[in-house]
Amino acid sequence: MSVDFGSQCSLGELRWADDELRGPRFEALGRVSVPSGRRLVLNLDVRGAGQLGRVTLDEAGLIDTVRATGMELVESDLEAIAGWGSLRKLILQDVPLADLDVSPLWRLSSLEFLGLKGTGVTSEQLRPVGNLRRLRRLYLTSDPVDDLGPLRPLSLETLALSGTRVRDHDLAPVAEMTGLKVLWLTNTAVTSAALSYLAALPQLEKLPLGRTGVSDAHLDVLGSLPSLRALDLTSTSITTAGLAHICASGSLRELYLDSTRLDDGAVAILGRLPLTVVSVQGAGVSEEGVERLRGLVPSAVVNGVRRESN
Amino acid sequence: MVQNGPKGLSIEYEVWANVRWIVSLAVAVGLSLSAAPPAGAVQQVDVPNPVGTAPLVTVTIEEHCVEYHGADVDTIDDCVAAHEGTDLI
Repeated sequence: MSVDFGSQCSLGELRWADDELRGPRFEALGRVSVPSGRRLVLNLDVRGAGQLGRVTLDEAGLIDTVRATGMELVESDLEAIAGWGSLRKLILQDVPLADLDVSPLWRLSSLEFLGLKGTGVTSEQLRPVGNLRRLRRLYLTSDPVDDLGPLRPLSLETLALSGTRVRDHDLAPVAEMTGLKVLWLTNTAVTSAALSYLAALPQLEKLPLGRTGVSDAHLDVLGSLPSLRALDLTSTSITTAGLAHICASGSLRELYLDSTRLDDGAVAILGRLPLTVVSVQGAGVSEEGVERLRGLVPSAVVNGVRRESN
Repeated sequence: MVQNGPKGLSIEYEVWANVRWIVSLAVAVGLSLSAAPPAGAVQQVDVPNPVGTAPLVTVTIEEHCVEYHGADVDTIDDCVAAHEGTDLI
């Protein structure tokens, strides 16, 4: 089995899918023979833009992953990627897609991981994404996405919506994603009113809600999530009163509360939880309170004092 | 067997070593990166220079994610793809 990347210029780097971090890596250049049972990762660089149509595979499924960051692909590149058969992971990060026809991507029926952070992809472009029935992780970070209706057919485990345009009512389809384990909502206009949509997510383990409009209202929903292990409420307006509702959950292990409106009353509440990490920098908890918290949860990493730069 | 073009084989272990060095330095000057991975966003973290005003080093999302997730490639990709913004947590 082999992949021919053409001989005139390199497209980026190439790795084995099961040995990425330890190397070796190769230039994606010329004909690469692939031993039986092994698959390739193609990390494109700017030399690959507009060149992907030159790649030919003598058997589908040789490429496992494609990553492209900070480069401009053209529609023929997307067509080429769509023709690479059983691609499992596709990451197009900071690759402008808003003005391209992205429909070839919806033919990648084997995709499990789709990263579209910073691509500018819109809800309208995402309308056929439901075709990707094997997709488990979808990242729309920093994209101008609001309507999540097209995601309804998917069985997602991770959905990243940080920095998108979603508002409270846009999260209604999320209530149907009962297999969701991780939901990123950092830096969105979401408020406590959206929390009711999360009540039906029994497998939700990680919920970053920092820099949102979440307040003390409806926090009892978070306290009732049976699998919630990591919660980030950094830079929200929650108070010690709200914290008491969250901490009804016995599953919480990591809690990030920096720059919130707590006081030393939070120490006793947090001290009753089996936390492994708790962060209350700039949250209104005094240095004495932080020390007391360290005593109450001695096995936890407690971040409590914000260091000032010189 | 891998047959390469003129540029040939390139083995790079130094990237990993550099990440380790940067994070170790960051910890040495007082930024606590030894805790578990934060759930929030870290676009970049300027580590204060104890003797000057300019940041000593900058830890990017990618370095942060590699440090916390080791060799689990899917988890590193997950971390990088999900983080947004410049929260210092």
